[in-house]
Amino acid sequence: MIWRWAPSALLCLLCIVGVAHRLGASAPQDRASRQQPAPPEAMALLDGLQVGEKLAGWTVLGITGPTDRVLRIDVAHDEIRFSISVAARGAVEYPAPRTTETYDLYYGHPHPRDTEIPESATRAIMAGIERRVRRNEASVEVPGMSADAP
Amino acid sequence: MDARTSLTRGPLGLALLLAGFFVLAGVGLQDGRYLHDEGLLTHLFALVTARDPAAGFFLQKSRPPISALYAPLSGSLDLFFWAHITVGALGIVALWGAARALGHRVPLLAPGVLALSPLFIGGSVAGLSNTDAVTGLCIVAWLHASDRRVAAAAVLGVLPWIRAEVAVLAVLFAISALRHSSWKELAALPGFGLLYGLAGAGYHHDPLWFLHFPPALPEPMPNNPYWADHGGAASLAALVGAAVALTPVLPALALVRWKSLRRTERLGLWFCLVFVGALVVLPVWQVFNFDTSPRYLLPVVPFVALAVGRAAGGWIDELDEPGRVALPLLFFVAVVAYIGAASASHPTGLIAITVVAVALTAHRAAAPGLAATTLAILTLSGPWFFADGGQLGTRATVPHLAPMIDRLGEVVGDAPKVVYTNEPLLASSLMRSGRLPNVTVFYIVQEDQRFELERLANPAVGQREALWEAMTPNAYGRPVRPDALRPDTVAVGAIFALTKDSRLPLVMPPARWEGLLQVVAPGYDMTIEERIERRTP
Repeated sequence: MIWRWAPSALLCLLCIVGVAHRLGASAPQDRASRQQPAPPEAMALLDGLQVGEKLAGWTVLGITGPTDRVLRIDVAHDEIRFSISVAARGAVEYPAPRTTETYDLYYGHPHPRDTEIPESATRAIMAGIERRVRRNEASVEVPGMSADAP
Repeated sequence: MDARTSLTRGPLGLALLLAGFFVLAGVGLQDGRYLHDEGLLTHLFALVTARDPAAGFFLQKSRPPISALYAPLSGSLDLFFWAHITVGALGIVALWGAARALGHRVPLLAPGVLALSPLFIGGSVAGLSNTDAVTGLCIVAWLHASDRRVAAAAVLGVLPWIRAEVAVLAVLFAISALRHSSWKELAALPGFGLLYGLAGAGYHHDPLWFLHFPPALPEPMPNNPYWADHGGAASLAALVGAAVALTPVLPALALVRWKSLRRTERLGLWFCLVFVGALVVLPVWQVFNFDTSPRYLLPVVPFVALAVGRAAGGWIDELDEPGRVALPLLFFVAVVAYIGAASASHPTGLIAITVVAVALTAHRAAAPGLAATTLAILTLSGPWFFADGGQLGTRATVPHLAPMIDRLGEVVGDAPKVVYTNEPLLASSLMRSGRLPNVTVFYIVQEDQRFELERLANPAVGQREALWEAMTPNAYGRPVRPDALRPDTVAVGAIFALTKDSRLPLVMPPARWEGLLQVVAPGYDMTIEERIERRTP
C-alpha cells in the first residue's frame, strides 16, 4: 500500500535533493571570507590589488579586515586556498617570515586543512605583497591598523 | 547451529568481525595516521606507573586502572598500541555477549556497529582512554544484560577513574537501582572507589586525598590563553560530522521502538541522552577542561549499537518494526543535518540520514530484510566515508607536523642536534618513522601542563617530584620544565621546532629570548628557529 511507504520515500527524495544542493553549493566560506571587506585604504596599501587578480598564478579570492590589526588576503589555485596576512607590527606575537618598515607578513590557513602549500608559491606571493606594501606604507594609513585601534 | 547462522549470529561471524577490526586498526597503526597527543598521554601515564607504581597509581589524573593495565607493556610504544587495540577488541566481544544475552535476533549487528565505528577504530589505534572506557561500558552492558547486575555495578564503579565523564552512567545506574530497591547493586557501585580511596589514604597520609587531589582540574588554570583561542561551543556542522563519525547508523536511532527495548537498552539510551546533553553544554563553561573533541562522545556508541542492533535484527524476522514517530523524527534530524551541512565540507550527516530513510522506505514497502541490509551496508561504509568528522587523524589535528619534520630535516642535516619543541607528537613521530635519528628531542612542558600536574599531585609525600623524575627519560621527548628553559640552559646552535601556540610565551617570554633566536624556517602554524649568540639591535 502506497500510503505506507510513500511518506518515507518522499523523505528520501528530499534528503537526496538536500545532499545535491549542499554538494552543488559553493565551498563553505571560512571565517575570513565572512569578515568585512577591506576598506579602500587597504587596497591602496596593497597597490590597488583587486579580487580576481593573479599573484604568481594564484587568484585573489578576497581581501578582508582589518581584524585585530591584521588584513587578510585569500588566494586560490585549483582546489587549494591559503591566506597572506599583513599585520601591523606587534599585532601578532610570532616571528614573521617577511617584514616591511611597519608591517609583518605571514601566511597560513591552508584549505583543505592538511594541505602543504608549495614553498615556491608562498615565497613568490609573499615577495609580491611585500613589494606592494613597501611602495605604499609611508603614504597610506589604513584605519584599524594602528596600535590604538580598537 | 548451521554455517549460515554461525556466520551471521555466532562465533564465526564474530571472528570475522574481529579480524576486520584488527586489519583496519593495523593499517591505521602502520601508516601512523592516528598519532595523537592524548594517546601518547595514556602511554606516558602507563610508563610513569611502571617506573614508580605508587606515585603513578595514586595520581587520579593518571587513569589508574588503565595505567596499571598497560604499565607492563609500556616499554615499547608499538606494544602499547597493540595492547590498546586488543582491549578495544575485547569491547567488541563483550558487546556481542550483551546482544546475545538481550536476545537480539542478529547479535552480530551491535558489535558490528562498534567494530566499524570510525572513531572507535581511530581511538583504539591512537591509544585514547576514551575507547578503554567504551570497552568497560561494553562489559557493564554484558553483565547487566546477563542479570549479573552487582558485577555490572562493580565494573561501572571503576570506569570514572578511566574517563570521569562516564560517571553520568553510574548516577543513572544508581537511580535505577534505587527504583528497583537493588541494594546490592547500589553497594557494589562505589566498591572500587572506596578500596582505591582507602589504599591511597595510606600513600597520601590523608583520608580525603581524593578530594584534595582530584582527577581533573575543577576549573582551568587562571589566565590560560589556550581557552581564549578555543571557543567552548561546537558548531552544528562539527556536531553532525562527529555524530556520523561515531557511527553512520546513528540516525537509525529514530527508527528504534522504545517499547521493544529491554531494561539495559533503555538505561543505555537514557545515558546517551543525558551524556550528550552534558558534553555539548559543559565545554561552553569550560568545566573539567572539556573541549569539543568528538572523542568524548564515544561512550554512547555501545548503547546506540545495542538499540539499532535490536531494531534491525527484529525487522529481519518481522518481530519488530520502526516506531510511529520514526518518520517525523528522521525528518527533524534531516533538517538539522541540512542546516549543519551549510558550513561543513561535505554533507556526510545528510548522506547517512538519506540511507536510513531508504532503509525505512524498504521496511514500509514490506522488504524488512532489505532495510536491515541497507543499515548494515551503511555501517560497513563508516571507516571509509564518515571518519573525517571524528577529527582524530594526525593530518587533521596537527596538519603542520609533516612540514615541520621536513623543514627540520633541511635545517639539521645529518649532524647531531638538540631540538627543543612544544609539539608533543614530534619525538614519537620521528621515532616511529625512523627519520632524523641524529636528533635528540627535548619537550618544552607547557605552563598549564605543569600547573595541572602539580595541582593534582601531592607535594607533601613527594609525589610531585616522583612523577617528574619518572617522566624524565621520556615524556613526548625528554621533558624540560618551564622553569628550566632559560637562555643559559640552551646551548648556542640548538634548534627550536615550535608549533604556534598561544601558551608558548608563558614558558618562553619574548623579552627573555629577544635577540637569542633566529628564524631559519618560517611558517604560520609552526616555525623552526636556532639559538644564536645575542644579536645586538
